Amino acid sequence: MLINTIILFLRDALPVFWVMSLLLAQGNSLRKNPRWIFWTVPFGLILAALLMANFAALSNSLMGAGLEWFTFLLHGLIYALVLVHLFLFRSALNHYWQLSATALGVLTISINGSYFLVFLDTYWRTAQHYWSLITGTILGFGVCFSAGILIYLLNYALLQRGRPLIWVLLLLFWSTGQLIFTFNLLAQANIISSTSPIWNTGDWITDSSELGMVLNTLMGYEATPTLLQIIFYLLCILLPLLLFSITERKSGAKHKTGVSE
Amino acid sequence: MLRYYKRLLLLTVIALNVTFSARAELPEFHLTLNHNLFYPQRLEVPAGEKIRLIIDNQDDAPEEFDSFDLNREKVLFPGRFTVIYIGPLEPGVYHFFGEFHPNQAKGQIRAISKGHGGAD
Repeated sequence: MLINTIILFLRDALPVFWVMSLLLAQGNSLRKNPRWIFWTVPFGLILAALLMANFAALSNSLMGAGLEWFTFLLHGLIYALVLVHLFLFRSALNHYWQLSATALGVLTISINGSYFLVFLDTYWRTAQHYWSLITGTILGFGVCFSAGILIYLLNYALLQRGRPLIWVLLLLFWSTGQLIFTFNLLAQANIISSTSPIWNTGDWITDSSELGMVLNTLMGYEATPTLLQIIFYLLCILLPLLLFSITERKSGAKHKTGVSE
Repeated sequence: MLRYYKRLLLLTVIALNVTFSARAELPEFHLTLNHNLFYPQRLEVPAGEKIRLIIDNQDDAPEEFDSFDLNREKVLFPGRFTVIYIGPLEPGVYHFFGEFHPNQAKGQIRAISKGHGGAD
């Protein structure tokens, strides 16, 4: 029960701590008022509770594939929001920052929080060893909180020095990883076919190990990825980077030739 | 650089083509969850075929069907049937468990190729 509770935190709570730390680091480096977080967390939690209450009905909809479709679409939306957020950052449209950070935070908390609440509720209702559960909750929260602080400090320092690449990559890897993972959900609902994995790195890092789970949460690690997952992963990471580098070159050229925007 | 992206896009189209599944009648297999135990604990299925696994959660609480070997995880709500599509599988043994009771709710799916008595 102790290990299970920690695993639950690593799987469902760590992505929330991760993305909130990245957004906080960016917001503070841009000297944004942190009031967005006071809207984001309660609103995200209310949505998560509403979702959790309707999980069974959602799961039964669309011939039993409702939850899979919903999770896939929500992670697709989160990925799209990450792109919008990066575009706003790249274009220095900072007055929309609060709005895009809030939307990203609310959606992340609601989808991860809803799964987290289902499991936590079941654990607490069926648990016989409350001490293990309490210890697991404290340890799990501690691990997530520590990881959040570390990632905040690292990114805040880099952003302050005008080096946003690590921050951009962490946000892209995280959102792409979460999206690619939902392909397994689509396959289990027969929306897409399961194809043979292209490679198997299970001998080095298994999906079931703690490291495998953390890597899965933070960058979508799969020991046995399919061709579709690999291609989409590469596209979702490389295309935005290509677009950013093209726009950077164009704006650089305009500045050099003295063309004003 | 753009040439590489074009190749990547072409590969995506090919992957999507083989990925979107054809809907056909699939062999069905049943699992039951009762008192945090899966019945049967060992399920034999044909290798090389996609199957439809129907799980009946007869308990009062949700459970999560989880399998790292099969890349599957699905919440089983109490008093409901849940359908999960699996495969086509290589011959072999694939473990699954209930995430809330991993020490009790566990079992294995044995994918057996035609003409063979059992999976390794």
